[in-house]
Amino acid sequence: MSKRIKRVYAVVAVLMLILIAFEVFPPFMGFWNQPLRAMGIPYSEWLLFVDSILMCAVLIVGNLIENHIDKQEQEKRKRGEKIDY
Amino acid sequence: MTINSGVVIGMLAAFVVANLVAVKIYVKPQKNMDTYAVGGRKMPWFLVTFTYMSGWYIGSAYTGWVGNSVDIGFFAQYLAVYGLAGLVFLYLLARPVWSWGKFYKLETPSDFMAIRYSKGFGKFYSVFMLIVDGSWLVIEIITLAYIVNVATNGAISLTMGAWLGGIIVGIYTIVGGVNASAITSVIQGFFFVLVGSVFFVVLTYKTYGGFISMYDLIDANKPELFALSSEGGVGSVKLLWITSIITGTLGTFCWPTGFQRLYLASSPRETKKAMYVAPICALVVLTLILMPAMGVSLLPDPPADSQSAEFWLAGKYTGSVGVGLVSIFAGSAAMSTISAVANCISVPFAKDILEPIFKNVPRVTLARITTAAVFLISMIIASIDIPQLNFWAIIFYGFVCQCIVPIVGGVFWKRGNTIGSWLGVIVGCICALLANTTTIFANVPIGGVLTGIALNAIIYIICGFIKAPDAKVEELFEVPKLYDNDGNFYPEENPELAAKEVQE
Repeated sequence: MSKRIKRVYAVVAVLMLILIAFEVFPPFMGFWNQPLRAMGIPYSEWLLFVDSILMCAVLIVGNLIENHIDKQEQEKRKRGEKIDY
Repeated sequence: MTINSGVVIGMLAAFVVANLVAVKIYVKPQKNMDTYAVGGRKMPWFLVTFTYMSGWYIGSAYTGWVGNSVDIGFFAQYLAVYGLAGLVFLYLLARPVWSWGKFYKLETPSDFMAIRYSKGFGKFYSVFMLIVDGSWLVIEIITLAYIVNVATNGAISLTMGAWLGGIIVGIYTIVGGVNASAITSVIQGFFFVLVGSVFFVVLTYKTYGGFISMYDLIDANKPELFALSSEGGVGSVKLLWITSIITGTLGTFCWPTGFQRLYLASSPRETKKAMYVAPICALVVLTLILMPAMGVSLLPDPPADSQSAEFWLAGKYTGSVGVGLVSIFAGSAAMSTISAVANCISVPFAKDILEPIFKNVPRVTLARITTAAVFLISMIIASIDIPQLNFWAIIFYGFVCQCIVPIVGGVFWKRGNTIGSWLGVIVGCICALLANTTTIFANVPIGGVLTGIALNAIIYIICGFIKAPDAKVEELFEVPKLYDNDGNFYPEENPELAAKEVQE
């Protein structure tokens, strides 16, 4: 794995950590976990859906970026250029 | 509505026959361990995705978690959160682990432990997983038996359900190995994901008149079901929510059913395609199952056993066909988990423990014998009422999570070593055991299991700094450079190392 891909991994890991923290760290939970509703749907369900969709997006976009970098590196290899590990 | 057990049994039987026919048509004879254990490393993305999902999308989601949803509401949905969050490990581990698997022809998580740390640690992991995951296998067989029992209104007893279910899943798993497990997981997955999602939306509308109406009903009578306990102290639901999500997330890839899936595809890219399907399934399917159960206690004449709420709802509002469908969804989830777990714990044990003793017996034969033995023992235990089983399974869950340190450390940190893995896992397991058997961690905010993981990681890191990585580890970390995301091999990156590639 090249340095660029490792960097993408690090960014994805940090973003996922932040998104998971929104669901499990008490300071955030105190705000979200109230028996209140918005548009008829409880806050807790909103949090779960919005946060989870963001997690899905981070994973999918991270994956697409990795594929894109990998394509570029395949081209580099074809041209005989060195990959930066 | 009156439930016709004949209709439910007929639907279940038709579904089982469909699975067996699919195995007969699509699964070729398994002649060697490479096809039996890792499907020849040629599985397309959808097979990998559904076999992966079968590991955490369990039958208990329709029973135990539904019961939680009825009793304590929103809390039960932590299952969806950690199912999704755990995918970050799929994203991070797929490429390096696949490369090592391909280069060294690794077939099991224990092979990974053996090559990264030591053969002794690999053997330990084989036995450890056989016991730990075996206990969950028994629980899932009991769940399958419970599903059949409730669905047939007691016409099939729990014991008969355990034996029937175990024998059916056992036959195709023993004969077809991981390929049979994968094929049936796709059929089962198709049912519980697509048909199941539509069904639970329909069920919610038929029961409550829609999701908002259901929330209105809960809001008017039990608004506390929307939220976790407001008390943030030790032992509260809120703390349980935090620890359940964190341990669930960390444990996802410690189970062999998660980790072994990293070897199955033709490339890391194929493995990672799971991320286009699995997260959506985790979120949508699981929440759709759990949501309608939240309001069950507010309906007229709710069931005494909250774990049977989904069957009760289906029976009351959609009749026998609805109960048959819920039985198929729940049975599918249980069957795919049982098959995946049995295959994943039997193969390493056969390879690491039995093969050195029975050198003349082909490895694949040993794997089949072990799988058969695992099924037989599990069915016997499932037929006996062991009151301590759930207690030990929860302790074992705490043990499994400790393996995240040697797994992630082993993949991303060269300095991680054998002594650190042994010491860290032992200390972590002791903490997990004490957390469930004593009050030592009663006042520790993060609980015993997470304290164990923290200590485990500290020990692993300290040991890593004491001893420099050896040449073997340096070589391991060079291997991923030889492959790209499509699984193409580039020997020119390191010709000397490339020459060492293990041949089939």
